Amino acid sequence: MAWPEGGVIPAGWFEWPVEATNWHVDTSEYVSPGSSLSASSTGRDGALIYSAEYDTTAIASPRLTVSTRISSVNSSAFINVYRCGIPYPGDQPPVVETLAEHTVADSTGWLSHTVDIPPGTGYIMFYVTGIGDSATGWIDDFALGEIEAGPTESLPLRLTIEASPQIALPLRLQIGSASGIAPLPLRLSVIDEAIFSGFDGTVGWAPAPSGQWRPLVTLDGVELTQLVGDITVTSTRNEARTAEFSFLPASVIAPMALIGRRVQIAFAERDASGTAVNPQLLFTGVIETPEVDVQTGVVSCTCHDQTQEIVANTPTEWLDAEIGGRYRVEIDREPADNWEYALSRLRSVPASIALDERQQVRILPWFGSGLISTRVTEGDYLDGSLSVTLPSRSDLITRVTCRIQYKYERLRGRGISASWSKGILFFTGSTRGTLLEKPHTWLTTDMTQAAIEGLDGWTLDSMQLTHPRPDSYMLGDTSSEGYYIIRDDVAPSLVIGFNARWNTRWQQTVIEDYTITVVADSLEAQIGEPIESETGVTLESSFDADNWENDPTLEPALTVPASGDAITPWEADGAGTADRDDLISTVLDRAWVDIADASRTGRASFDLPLRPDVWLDRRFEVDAQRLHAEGTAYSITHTMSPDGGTAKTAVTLAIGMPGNVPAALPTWALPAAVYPDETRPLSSYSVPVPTWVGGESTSPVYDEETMYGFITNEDYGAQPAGYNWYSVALDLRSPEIDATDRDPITVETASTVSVSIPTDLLELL
Amino acid sequence: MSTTWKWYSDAGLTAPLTRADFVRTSTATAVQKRLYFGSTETGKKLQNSSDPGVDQLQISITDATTGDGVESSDIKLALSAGGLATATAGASLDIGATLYSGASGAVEIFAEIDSALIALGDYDGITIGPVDYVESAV
Repeated sequence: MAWPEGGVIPAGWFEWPVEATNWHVDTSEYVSPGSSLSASSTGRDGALIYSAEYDTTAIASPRLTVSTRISSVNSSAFINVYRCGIPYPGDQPPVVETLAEHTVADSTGWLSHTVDIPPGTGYIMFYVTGIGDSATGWIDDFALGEIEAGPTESLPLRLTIEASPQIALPLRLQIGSASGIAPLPLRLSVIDEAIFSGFDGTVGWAPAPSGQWRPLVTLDGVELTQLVGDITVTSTRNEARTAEFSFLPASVIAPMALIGRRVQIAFAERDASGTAVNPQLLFTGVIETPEVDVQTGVVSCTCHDQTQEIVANTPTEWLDAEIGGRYRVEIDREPADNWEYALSRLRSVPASIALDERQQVRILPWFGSGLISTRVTEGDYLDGSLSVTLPSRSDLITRVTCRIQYKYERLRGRGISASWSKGILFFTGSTRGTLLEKPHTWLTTDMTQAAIEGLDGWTLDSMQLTHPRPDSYMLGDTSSEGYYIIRDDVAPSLVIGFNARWNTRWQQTVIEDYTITVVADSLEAQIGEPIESETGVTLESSFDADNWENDPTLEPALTVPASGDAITPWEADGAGTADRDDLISTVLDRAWVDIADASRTGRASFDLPLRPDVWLDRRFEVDAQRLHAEGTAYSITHTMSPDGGTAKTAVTLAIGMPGNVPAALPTWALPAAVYPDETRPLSSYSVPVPTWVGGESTSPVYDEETMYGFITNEDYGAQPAGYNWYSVALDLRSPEIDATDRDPITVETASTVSVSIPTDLLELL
Repeated sequence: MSTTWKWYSDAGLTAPLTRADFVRTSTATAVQKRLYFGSTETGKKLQNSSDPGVDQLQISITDATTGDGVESSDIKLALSAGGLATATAGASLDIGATLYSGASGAVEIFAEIDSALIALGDYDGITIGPVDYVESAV
């Protein structure tokens, strides 16, 4: 019976509406119009109104909609849906299971119910039932929907949002300061280009062509008008710029209040009206020490430009980037501040540090790019001011012996093994043919395990024992010579062979001892003999895992081969091989810089009519009648003497050894430490197991020192006198670890590196 | 509560600046200076007041004396010396969403004046400074 298409009961089955009183039908028939139903006073009766076959194999979660329109219901009434075992009509269909029961009532419209249909095939029946006497009702209409797929099963996801104080967003009103940062004014001062000219023998005083000049000294931005005596400003590499001046206060002052006050000093042309023209700043700094002449009231001030304070406050990262070079704390220890740090780093770079006239940190190279080249001749410097001093022997260095020791721990491990076996006839004995063998006392399992597990100082990795096969072993060529019987329960207690592996681990201290001599060959040839300096430093990579040797569970783990060595250098943080190489490079850099620095202790000095633009960033070529030299400014002193009307700049140059050949800091090829051959013979990784037999005519007297391994006797049940008989034992002795493997070792490496250092032009004519 | 951020001539924030002087000769060449903007106080931060911590703090250029010779368009700002080559003249400079006090939190700013002026004298009127900022405790 096919399912009605469209879900509507086809005509001919019964006509609708069906008026039923007492709702009674013969259960062997479909309900039909006019049929009556009757229910007992306590029971339920009903009428089959439809039956059909279903097939829901291909439908997921099948279900259908049952719709009824029933009126005049005066009792409890239901629409029942049953699954039954056979089709109807026919016999009373047996109910297999109740699929749904929905209460129905008077209804002017449709009442719809969804019924889940079992998956697969079967038969389904629809009943209308009532309970109790005089149950009446009028079935106006009945319809079935298509069997359709129900909602697809899906995995329910639950998002639980728990009320929590943390979810609440705290709002904070923070009242900050949104004003008060003073904009920074930018001033462009355009000054006469001519004031920077005048060198190279050009006559005249470019900064003050008319010879009229004046100092400008300001205290906290206010010009001091009553200057007294000379005003000097001195700049020296790696030192603070200093200034001295005196003035007569215009009003009563508290000398102590001068300390730390801001000072600026400039040199300017003076026009006809006395106004400063083209002022050029010479100094910015603070008063360090004021002194008062109580007789005259003159206040003399010594000032500096805060070099040490400013550099000390400068972040390390900035110094690293600007200076370059290398720094290792092992050489100079922890610096007190970044001023010391900067000087330490500068030891590895051919450069100096200083503040310019506006207190900006400047890194000044000794030579090469970054310097302003200037040529001065006799027309430029003041008469009689030129002098020169050559480097003294005591200042020179031609070679530096660098000793660098790198001390670290090697984590070592060694794997050893033992292997031993005997044929079973060795124990049972044999008289068979050529297989003549005397019986010997057995090696037992207990004896073997105890010996293997008891190897002192070694951790057992693995152990395999070979037991004799339980069997009856014929002793001779014929059975009449008897059998040696090993029972099942005895075999496991006997051993005819074993293999075992052990490992141990330990630390070995290593000192890589580098001696590297940095030699300036050309300088040494120039001087005629070596002048040596020495330096030394140690880097230690300490290993502080207590009891690591004895506790194999402690990190770091070491993978030890079955028979061989494992060697792992322990590199502590900041003391690994990369640090070692960096340390060696740093020492070598410093050695080269030391040699170069010592070679430029010659000095050439001369005075110029005051040149505000001359500073430490200049490299001068002095071309005079008796001297032709070239060097970098080492110290500059500007002196203004308003009383005497003179203003001059004293220049001191650092001059290297003659040669005039440039050279740069080398790139080092670091020497490699050469370790001794650490290949060991196979015996270092083997546990020997010789077999000693007592009771033979050749059996020696037992010697505990030399007799180890498997010690047994010929076994005849009795031990006749006149032979050496032994206590049966398995005595395993591990191979010794050589002292060279265990004791601290020093790996010495010596090398010499030839370097070139820059030389300057220095000709005495 | 006053703001603690200032201008300095050194990275260690030791020498405060009240004016940045650019000196050159009458030959028109670009001149550069390194400036440092930071606070020596502890536990302070500076942010853009419009959306603190998100919007960039900016250093802008202001010309109070337009037409006097040095103009905003003569000024470049950058966070590196190399950045000056590609910086847009007159443009503001982003210096980060949050600045922290201390020398390590200072911003190094490279400023350049590239003016065609050749007449001798001092030219003022240009200032640089942050806009829309708020300083608060960290």
